[in-house]
Amino acid sequence: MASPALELDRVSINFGGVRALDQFSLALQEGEIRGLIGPNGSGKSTAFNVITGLNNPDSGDVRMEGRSILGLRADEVAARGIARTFQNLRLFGAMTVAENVMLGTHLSRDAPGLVPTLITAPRFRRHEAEMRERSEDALKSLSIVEYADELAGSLPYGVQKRVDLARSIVARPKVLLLDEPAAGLTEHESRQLMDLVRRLHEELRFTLLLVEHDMHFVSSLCPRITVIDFGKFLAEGAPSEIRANDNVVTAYLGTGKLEGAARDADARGSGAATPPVVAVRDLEVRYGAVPALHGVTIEAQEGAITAIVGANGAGKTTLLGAIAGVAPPWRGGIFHRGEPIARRSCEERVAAGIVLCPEGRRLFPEMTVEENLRLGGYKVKDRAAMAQALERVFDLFPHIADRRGQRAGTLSGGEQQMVAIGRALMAKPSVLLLDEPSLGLAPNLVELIFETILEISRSGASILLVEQNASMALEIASRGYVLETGRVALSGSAAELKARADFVEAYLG
Amino acid sequence: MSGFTVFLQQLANGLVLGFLYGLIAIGLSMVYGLLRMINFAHGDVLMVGVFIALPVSWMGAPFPIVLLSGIAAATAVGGLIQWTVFRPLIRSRDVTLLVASLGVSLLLQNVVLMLTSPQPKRPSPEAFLDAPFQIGGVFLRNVDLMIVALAIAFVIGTHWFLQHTRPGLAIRALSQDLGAARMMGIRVPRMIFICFLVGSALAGVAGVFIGYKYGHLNPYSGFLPGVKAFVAAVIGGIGSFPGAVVGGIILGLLEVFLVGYLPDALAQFRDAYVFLVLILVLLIRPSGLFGRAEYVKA
Repeated sequence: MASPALELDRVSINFGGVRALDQFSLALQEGEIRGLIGPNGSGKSTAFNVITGLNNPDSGDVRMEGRSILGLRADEVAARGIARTFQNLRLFGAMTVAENVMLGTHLSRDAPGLVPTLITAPRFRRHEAEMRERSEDALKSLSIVEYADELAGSLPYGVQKRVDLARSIVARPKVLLLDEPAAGLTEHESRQLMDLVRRLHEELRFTLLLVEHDMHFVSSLCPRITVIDFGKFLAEGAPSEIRANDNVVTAYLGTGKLEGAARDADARGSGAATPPVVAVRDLEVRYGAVPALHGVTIEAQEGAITAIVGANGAGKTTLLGAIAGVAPPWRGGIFHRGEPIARRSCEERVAAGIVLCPEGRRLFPEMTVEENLRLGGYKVKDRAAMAQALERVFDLFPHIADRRGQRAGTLSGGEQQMVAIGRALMAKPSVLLLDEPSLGLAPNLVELIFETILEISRSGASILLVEQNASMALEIASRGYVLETGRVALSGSAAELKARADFVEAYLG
Repeated sequence: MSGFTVFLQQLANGLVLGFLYGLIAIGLSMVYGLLRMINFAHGDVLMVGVFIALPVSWMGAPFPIVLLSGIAAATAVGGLIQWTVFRPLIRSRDVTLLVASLGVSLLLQNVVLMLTSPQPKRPSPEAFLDAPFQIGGVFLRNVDLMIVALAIAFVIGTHWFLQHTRPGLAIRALSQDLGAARMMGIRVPRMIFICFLVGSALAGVAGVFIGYKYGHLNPYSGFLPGVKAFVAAVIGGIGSFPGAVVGGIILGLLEVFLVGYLPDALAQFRDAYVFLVLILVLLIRPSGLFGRAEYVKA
C-alpha cells in the first residue's frame, strides 16, 4: 500500500504542563474523508496546528506521502499542498470576496518567484491569469459568484463560511483540513454545506480531515471517524461503530437524557395573566444606515424561558443587545415590568437585573476565572453576598471551581462557556439574556448547558434564549419567536412551534 | 575618578532619569491600554502642572506644598481635557483621538506661552533638595533620592490600586474588552476618567521633580519627556503597567550610558538615540517586554 497521504505518528505536545496531544497517531489514505471528533479541549485544533506547522510537537512525526513535514514553517506546509479553514473565520473583512479568494492562490505550489513578479514577466502574467481563472472557478463551485465584489466582512455568516472554503481550495490542495465548518450554521445551511463539500471532493479528489461537533454532519460525510479524548486516541471506525462505542458515548456524545426533563418548563410561565417581564415593541435598530431589526415586538413572561430562533443574520443577537443596552434602538420601545428602559444605560439595566451573557463568551482572557466572576458581580458591593454568589456558581459548575485561579483565556471552549454563564449569574439577574450558549460545544456539554439553563430557570430567573440549536431551545422553552431578516416571522408556544417543525425549519434556512 | 566609579555614577543618573520616565509612562500606557490612543498631550499636562507649582514655590511654600500643588494642577488639567475633549470622541477612530491629543498639546503649550513667557524658569531653590551627598564615590543630590523613593512609592500604590480595589479590577477588565466590561455594569466613562486622573497625577509628580532637578522650564518642556515616556512604554510593552516602569528605567539607563560613553561628537544626539531605540524595538519585538502577545486560538 502507498504511504498515507497524511500521517501523524505518535505526536505529543505540552502546553504549560497540560498534555494537549499524547502519543496521538492518525493516518489518512489518499482521497479519504475522515472525521475527527472529541470533547472541547481534547486536542482537535492542536492536531490541526501541528499539521499546519503552527505548533511544534515535543515528540513524534508528521508525514505527508511518507515525507516528514515537521519543522516546516506554516507557509512551507501550505506550499506542500495542505490547506485549512479556521473555526473562527479569518477572512479579511475590508477586502472583497474575490480578493480574499485570490489570496488563497498565494499558497499555490507553482507560484513564480520574486523577480518574475516584480518585472511582471510573461510567466508571472500567465500565472496571474490562471490564478484569476481558478478563483472564478472556486467562486462558481461554491455558488458565491454574485458576492465577488462585495466586502467579505459585510456578508452573512453562512456566505463568509463559503468564502473561507473557496479560499482554501483555490490553490488545489492535496490535503484539506476543515475546522468546524458547520459551527454556527443552521440545519439547512449545514446540509447545503455538506453537499458542497461532497461535490468539491468528487471534483478535486483531495484528502479531507474534518473536525466537527455536529454528529449528523460528520456521520453523513465521513465513512470513518477518529475519536480523540484528552489528547489521546480513543476510537476509530465507521459512524455506526462509533455511535455504539460505550467509551465514546460517555466521553463525548452524551445520553440524550434532557428530553422529558424539560416538561415542567411548559407548566410555568404559561399563565399569561401576569404582565410580561420584558416587552419589546416595534423595535428598530440600525447599524449605520442598515436596519438590523425593523419593527420587532416580543414579550417574555416572568419566570419563563423564551426562545428566539432564526437564521444567521436574522437579528437575534441585535435583539438581545438592544434589551441589554449595548445596541441603541433607532425607534420603538423596550419595557422592563412595564417601565420603559430604552433610554437607560447598559449599567443601569445590569443594576435592574437585566444581564447579558454575550455571544462568543467575551471573557477577560488575561484575568483569572475568579476575577472574571467577580467582575460579573461588579454591582454586588457586599462582600458576603459576593462570596455567596461565587459559591452558587461553583455549585452549579463544580468543574470550574478547581480552576478559579487559572487565566480564563487558557480554558477550553466548554469551560469558558461555563465561566461566561457563571459570570452573568454573579449579577443575580432577574432577566438573563443568553446568546448562543451552546455554540461550538460538544454534544455532552450542550446537554449540560441546557440542563443548567433549566436549573437557573427553576430558581426563578426569566430567561431569553437565543439559540442556533432551535429544536433543543424549543424543548426547554415555554414560548418561542422565529426571527427572519429583522422581523418576527412566527411566534407561539414552544409546543406549537415544535409541532410545526417543518414550517419553522423553512425560516431557519 | 576610576572607570568603575564613573560607571556607578552613570548607573545612578540613569536610574533617576528612568524613574522619571517611568512615572510619566504609566499614564500613557494605561490610557493606551483602554482606548488604544497615544496621548500626545500627556507631557503638556505635566508641564501645566509644573507651571502652576512654580509660582507656589516662588511664594516661598515648602517643598511638599509645591509638590501637592503640581499634582493637583496636573490632575485637574488631565481630567479637564479628558472630560471636555476626549470623552465626546470616545466612539471615534483611534486616529481621531490621536490628532485631538496633538491639538490639545499645542493648545496647552500656547496658552501657557501666552500667559507667561518663553524665558526659562525654575522653582526657588530648596536647600534640602539641593544638598549633595556621596556614597561610594557616586555624587547625588537629595532630590535624586527623593525621586527614586517617591517614584517607587507611587508605583507600588498604583499597582495596589489596580490589583486590589474594585475600580482597579474594573480598569483591568476595561483594558481587555471594553464592550464586555460595559455588559458587567461597569460605568466605563467614569473608569476612563479615573485612569486619566491617576496618570495625570503621576505625570504631575514627575513634572515637579523635573523642575527641581533640571530647572530650565519653558512651555515646551513637557513635550519631549512625554514622547520619550511613550518610547519607554513601547519598550516595556504598551498597555502593561509593570512594562511602563521597567521600560522607563531601561530607557533612562540607555540614554545616560550612551551619552556618557560615546565620544562627544556623537553624544550630543541624545534624543535621536531614544528614537533609534523605539525603531529597533518596533522592528524586533513590537509587543515590548511585558506586552501581551496577541492571543490567537486557531
